[in-house]
Amino acid sequence: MQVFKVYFKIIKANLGQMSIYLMIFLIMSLAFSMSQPPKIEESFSQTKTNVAFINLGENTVLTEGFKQYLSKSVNFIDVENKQNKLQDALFFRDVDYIVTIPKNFTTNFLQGKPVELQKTVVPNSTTRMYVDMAINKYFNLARIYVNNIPGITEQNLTVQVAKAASSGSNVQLKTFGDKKQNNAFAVTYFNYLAYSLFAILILGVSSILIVFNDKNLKRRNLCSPMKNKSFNLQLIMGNLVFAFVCYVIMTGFGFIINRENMMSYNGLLLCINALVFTIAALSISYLVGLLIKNRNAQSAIANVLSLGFSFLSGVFVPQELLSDKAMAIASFTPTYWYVKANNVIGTLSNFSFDNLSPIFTYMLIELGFAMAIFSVALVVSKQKRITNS
Amino acid sequence: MFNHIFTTRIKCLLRDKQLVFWSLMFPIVLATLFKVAFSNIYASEAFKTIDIAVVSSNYYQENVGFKGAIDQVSKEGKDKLFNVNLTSEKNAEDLLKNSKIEGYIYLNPDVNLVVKSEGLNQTVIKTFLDDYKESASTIATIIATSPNANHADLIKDATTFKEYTKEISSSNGVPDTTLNYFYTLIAMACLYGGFSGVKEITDIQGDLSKRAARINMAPVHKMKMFIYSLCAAFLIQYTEILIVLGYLHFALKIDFGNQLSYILLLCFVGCSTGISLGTMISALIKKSEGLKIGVLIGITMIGSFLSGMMYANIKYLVDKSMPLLSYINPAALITDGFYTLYYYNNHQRFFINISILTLLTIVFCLTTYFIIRRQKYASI
Repeated sequence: MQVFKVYFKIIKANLGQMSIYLMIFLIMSLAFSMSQPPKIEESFSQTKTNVAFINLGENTVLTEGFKQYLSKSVNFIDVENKQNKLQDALFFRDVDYIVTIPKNFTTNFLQGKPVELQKTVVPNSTTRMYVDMAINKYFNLARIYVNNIPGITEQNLTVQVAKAASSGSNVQLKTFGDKKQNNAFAVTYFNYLAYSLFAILILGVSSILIVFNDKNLKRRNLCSPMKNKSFNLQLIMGNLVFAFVCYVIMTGFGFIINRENMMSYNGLLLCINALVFTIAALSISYLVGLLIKNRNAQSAIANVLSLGFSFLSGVFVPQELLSDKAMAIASFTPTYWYVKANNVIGTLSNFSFDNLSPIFTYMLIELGFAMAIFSVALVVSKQKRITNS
Repeated sequence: MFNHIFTTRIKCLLRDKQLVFWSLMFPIVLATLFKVAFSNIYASEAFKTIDIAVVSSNYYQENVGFKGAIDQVSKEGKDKLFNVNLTSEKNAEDLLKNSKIEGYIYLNPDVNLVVKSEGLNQTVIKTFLDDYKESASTIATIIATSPNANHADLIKDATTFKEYTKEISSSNGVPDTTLNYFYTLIAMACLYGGFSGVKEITDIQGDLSKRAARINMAPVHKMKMFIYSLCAAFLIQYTEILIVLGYLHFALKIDFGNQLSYILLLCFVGCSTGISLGTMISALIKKSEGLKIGVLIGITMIGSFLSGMMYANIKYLVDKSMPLLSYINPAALITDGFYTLYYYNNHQRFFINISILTLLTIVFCLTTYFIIRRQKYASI
């Protein structure tokens, strides 16, 4: 068991670097889990847009009525009426829409003069469209009243418009007989796991291989009476145990912070998928570890590979938002199939064979990657042995 | 003397592959990944015609007003709101189940909407339906309250649509939040100039490296030598930043606005801040080089995080709730410099950023100076 023991001595010596990735992962997940209250949809409620409301004129019954009405469709966000502050708020989407009521708006409107509200928006966005619809609706209704009931008071006008505008249409939320479970956080957690786990495995496994592949050390080891088979077997066991421990820590933490949702078939499938991915990541780490020659290159390669795979495969940004080109490239990485499987698992509510089969296909592809890369690694290590001796 | 030290230092720095990787290659790789991941985010906010279905029942066929309204918003053109699929109820339900449509409308004879989830598109459909319903009820109310109203005028009024909003913008560019990621990336690259700053100190302080011990033997004034070395480090760092900038602009088509001279000035000051930050850290921490690099990376990463590299809105939150933090964070100042050049049409805040960055650079340089000056070694 000497080799196996040395394996974990080396891991212990390199724990600092790896624990940075682990800690960041755990802290981020924790922060994320606390910031997201679980939301279960039962009846339909409108999505509200954030709007900054600025009135340059005085508050009148009409503008107050308008604001009251608009609050059904939007959230008002207080932003200081300074150009830079408003610009900042729009750029960082604190608000999606800035509406400004010009001076003398009410008087002009009631007299039937052409009036316009000024808006600053995210060009062509859906939110803009939606708030536009709401604003135009209100003033078009108000106009009809002003034009057709001569002498209508401002007070009466707002009451009438509010009444007319309150007759909402009936919306039914259909869930197609499924119990809705919100797996969004679990899926995000497991997707993000792909980045940290991968980085940690590359760092860990390459640290080991750099030590054992050192020319002099290797020659000395070959002289020892220990059988080569036993030596390799212990090394493989070390790798497996190390990878498994990382896997258990990460999925275990997922269970702790997200207990209710993880105790389900979806949670089980996510765990199985993560285990399959761990095997694939381990084989890549093994190959990378064989190719890394010194410690300086280690963190560079670990960073570039883990970040690269994750960005391409939709770990940080949902896959639907990635371009087709990126997806095509990403499909040559196991991370892509892992994330894809997670996303399908998240939406699953009916565990029939038909629904499960794509998930198992993705897992098989991940395993295929693991096998293929491991075979390459074996060839590489054989090649190295021959050139070294 | 200047030429000799300068060229030697340039060779020294360029041969340090790790240094070149982190300050040049890493930002380029990360920028490419950002581009791959973020390029569609801004586009996803854009409105796309919503797919809906309408159940083709007798009620629908008889309701001319509603039919007209649906036709109006599904007409090809700029204002097209919906792609309408006229079908049976069963079919519509299937389409919804398979997420082919966002929702379907059926009349019984009242207007009803069926959706699968909540969201912006669903809300738009609902708003449209409310709109239709409210116009109808308005006409009824007016006729009821003032029977004297002219019916023809009323109908005409109710069917004309007036636009009550007008778009104004005081910004130079479109508010694309993802740009902030690229701006923080350059800020990070500028601060990674600190690596060469750390290296310059290691190579000038006799107790830190053998090379420095040897150099200290030479009868050249230490400060002169240090300043010459810093010039070399600065030249390399500035060139690297320009390469990164060029790559972002020409290859990735990132919009920086069009004020080149200001951008160059910002990079110039940013590089100085980065390098001087590195020298200060290296001079202050008397431990191993690994620790120095660790502290530098830590400061850079926290700074980049606070200026929105991992999540753009962090920058806004910090600006809003802890403005002082943004004023002492060099990464936030550089990011904000790029942001104001792109987005604002005045230079007030840009010059505030530049001034604070310059001030920080001076503080870093003075601290370094007071630590390393007059250090002589009797024996090492």
